Amino acid sequence: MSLLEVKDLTVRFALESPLQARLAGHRRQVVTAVDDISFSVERGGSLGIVGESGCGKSTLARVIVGLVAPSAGEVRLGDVEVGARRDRATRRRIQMVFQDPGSSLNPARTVGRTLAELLRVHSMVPSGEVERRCEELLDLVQLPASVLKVRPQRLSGGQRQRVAIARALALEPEILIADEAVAALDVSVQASILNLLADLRASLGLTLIFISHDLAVVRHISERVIVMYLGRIVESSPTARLFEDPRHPYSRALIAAAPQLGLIRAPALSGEPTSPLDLPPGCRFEPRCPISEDVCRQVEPALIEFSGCSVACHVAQRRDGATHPRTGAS
Amino acid sequence: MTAVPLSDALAVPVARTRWRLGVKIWIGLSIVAVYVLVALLAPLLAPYNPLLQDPLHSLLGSSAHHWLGTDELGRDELSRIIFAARIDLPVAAFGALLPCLLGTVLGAIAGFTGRWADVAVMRVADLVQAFPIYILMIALVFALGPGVRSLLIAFTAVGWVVYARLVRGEIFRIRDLDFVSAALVGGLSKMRILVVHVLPIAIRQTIIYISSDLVFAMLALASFSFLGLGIPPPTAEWGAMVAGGQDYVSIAWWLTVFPGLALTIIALGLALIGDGVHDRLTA
Amino acid sequence: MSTQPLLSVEGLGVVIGRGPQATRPVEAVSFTVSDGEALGIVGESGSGKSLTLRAVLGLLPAGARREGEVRMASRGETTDAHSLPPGMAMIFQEPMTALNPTMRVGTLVAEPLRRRGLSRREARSGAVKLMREVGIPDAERRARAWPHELSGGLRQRVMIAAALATEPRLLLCDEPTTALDVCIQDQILSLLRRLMEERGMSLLFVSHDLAVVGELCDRVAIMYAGRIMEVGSTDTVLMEPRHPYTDGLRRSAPSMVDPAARLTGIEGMPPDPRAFPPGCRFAPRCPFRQADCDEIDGSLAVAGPGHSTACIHPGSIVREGAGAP
Repeated sequence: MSLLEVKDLTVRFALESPLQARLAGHRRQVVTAVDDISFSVERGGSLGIVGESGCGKSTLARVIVGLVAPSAGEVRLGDVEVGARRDRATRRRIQMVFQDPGSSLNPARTVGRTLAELLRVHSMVPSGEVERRCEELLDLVQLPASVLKVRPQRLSGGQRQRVAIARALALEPEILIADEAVAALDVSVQASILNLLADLRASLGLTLIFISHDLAVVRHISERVIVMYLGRIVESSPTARLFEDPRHPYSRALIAAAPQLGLIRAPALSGEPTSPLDLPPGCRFEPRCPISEDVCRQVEPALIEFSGCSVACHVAQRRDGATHPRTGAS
Repeated sequence: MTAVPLSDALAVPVARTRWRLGVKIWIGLSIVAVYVLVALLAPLLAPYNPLLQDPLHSLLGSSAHHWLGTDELGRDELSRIIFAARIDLPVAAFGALLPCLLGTVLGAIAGFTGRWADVAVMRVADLVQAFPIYILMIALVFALGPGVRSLLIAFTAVGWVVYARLVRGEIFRIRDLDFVSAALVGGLSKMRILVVHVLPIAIRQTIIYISSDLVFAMLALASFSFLGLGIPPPTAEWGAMVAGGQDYVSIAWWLTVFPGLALTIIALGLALIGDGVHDRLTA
Repeated sequence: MSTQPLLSVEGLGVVIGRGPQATRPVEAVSFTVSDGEALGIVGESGSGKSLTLRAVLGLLPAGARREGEVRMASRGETTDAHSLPPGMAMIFQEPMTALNPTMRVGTLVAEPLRRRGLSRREARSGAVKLMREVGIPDAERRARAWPHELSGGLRQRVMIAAALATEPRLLLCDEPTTALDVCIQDQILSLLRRLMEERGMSLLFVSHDLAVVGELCDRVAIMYAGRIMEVGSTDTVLMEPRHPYTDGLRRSAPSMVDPAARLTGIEGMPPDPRAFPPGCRFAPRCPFRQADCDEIDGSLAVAGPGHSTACIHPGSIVREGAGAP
């Protein structure tokens, strides 16, 4: 059984209250940030979730970690359903490292107090051992014990991110979610944090979910990749396979658009994503898709698995000889 | 292995500025300290009992016996001014602190608990603010009868709104920051997060405000006494003394001027502190 | 085509404070930009790259002074430190905050045209034309939009259009694509390249992203701790670096080309500008440091045709696999 299973997860946000909608004379505007998503993660696995802004990946992360409640569907940890209301013991099992090292640590508290508080509240170690355990945690992330006495403002971005990782590990979670954890860091610092995460995963047996807009980073650290677009999964594949042979045109565009040393070519993708308030009836990517056909405008493609990879694209599915479950077309 | 962020290099060298910003606070604190000392040592400092009447020697000007003269009932003006500090200072202090406490609690509830709590608190705040402050306070004091208790109730009932809005606004800003989310993910209770993580940062703004609110409270007390709704006689209180001296201003100007000066100087001291704190916290 | 470079920067520095405690977050920076050329300046946070750009334009924060010379080809004389050089325009990183939220975007783009004396109608139509040139669809209608109604990519295009309205010969870019999604970034880079070709415009492009600069720019300068460490043609500098810092940067970024390679970051942190180390500023973090590295003055020496480096031991860099694309 997988460690983490996400089933038919949907998250909707209302942009206004029902009263405001009534007064404005239209139906209440709702954004579906995450739309009917299902996937699973094995224990010890490393999943990358990739997509541009607005695709819903951060909302997805917040649902998994219990900050946002699903509107439909569920998240299961082992055989337990976990929603936004969790007891302390369940909270321990999934932890998160946030993107902005500037705001993810309380500026009014020293590092030591932040770590000690978590250890004490969860009674992770007997109270006499708290300081020693804090030092151990810092050691895990390669920071000296003197950092305990320091407030976050005095640390660099890379150091703060290490503290954030130490904080996430303080509760000895099974799953660690990194939500754009290296995006705000300089590239030379990024490298050491990525290496740290990889090493910690190996030594602690962590299950890692890495969320990023940066394909190269995801490719480096994940074994499996999910590509999201406007709230849906468009492709899911082992990493090597995705980059060798991306099947969804959006995946292909993302890979082509990633800057590399070399000549400039014509942009991989024109236009901008459609507004999430105004989704087309068929495939959401169709307005920008270079290979779309009539069926793409009418029927939204389902995510269909074929030999270990899943893709939500009529054209790609036809190419693979997969049959559409509803129309039976191949 | 600490690092100073590089942006600090672009700041003007700090050493000199820090001292300069402290001057206001030092002067203000000195003034307030003097007043507090006077209030505490009143029985030792005042030459006469402030309530001791001597009708034969009323409305006298400055003399060796009475440095600041006497009022219409022959009471020593200097002693009355000194003892008045014992009324004005605590009432003003509580008159600012109580609204601050109530406002902070209500603001925290509004900002952190949920939509309905927020709506409830804010609509009550709107209601209170719809009245001109003094009218509402006067009505309350009138209804409750004169005296310190009614004054404090009136101050609190009207003054909490500003604090509530300040704290609520700050909480709105802070609660979206990642470290609050991180605390939630870490299994800390909402109450703990509010009290231990959010409020200490949220009340920084109120500290700036309270220093000016102290001035307001003192002047409001004086105004009430001036209107006859404040501390009842014969207790010495600066505002009441200014009011009482009105009738004699042409023949005994010292009865209004000196209590008025006492008020002005402490107000100045508090304002300087508030200004200085504002400078420090927003530098 | 004249042989004189369009932009010549000599010994550029930024000084903060006075006397012995003055700090120089940018020091002794020299480079040139030719007609129609794109020069990239790459550095991490704290390298001084953004300050350098602002110093070229003369837009320094209060308390900061500029040293050195900045020369634009049309005028022989040095521009003094107080006037904005003509022929230059700048686009910024954060499209969210760089546009005036109280102005419709068409008015914003038209403003430089109005300042040059065009009537309101002429300026309006000129603005729409510019907006079309930068690829804003439905430009006529979009000109009436407010900045907050547009997406990041469109806002960046508006900023570019406004910059083009001044007919610049040199466009200074301060990380204009950092805040954008990769597909939009791709479009903007392509747009910039097209504009360079169509208008004969030069580009001074500051970024922290080696790969972006590698795609867009003809030449690149690598900055660290306020100084230029290496400068040369993009291919040469990025494929065969002659400075350990450039090499370190190259190895830090996960490459789409060689994904399995273990990333090697760079140990340590950039120095505080108030206490730069003597000699080579990168030496404390350099894996190839030697004793005489602490005695150099940081000036650039030739390492190849059109390629200079500040490192006195550039041969120490072991090239593995030459990193071909």
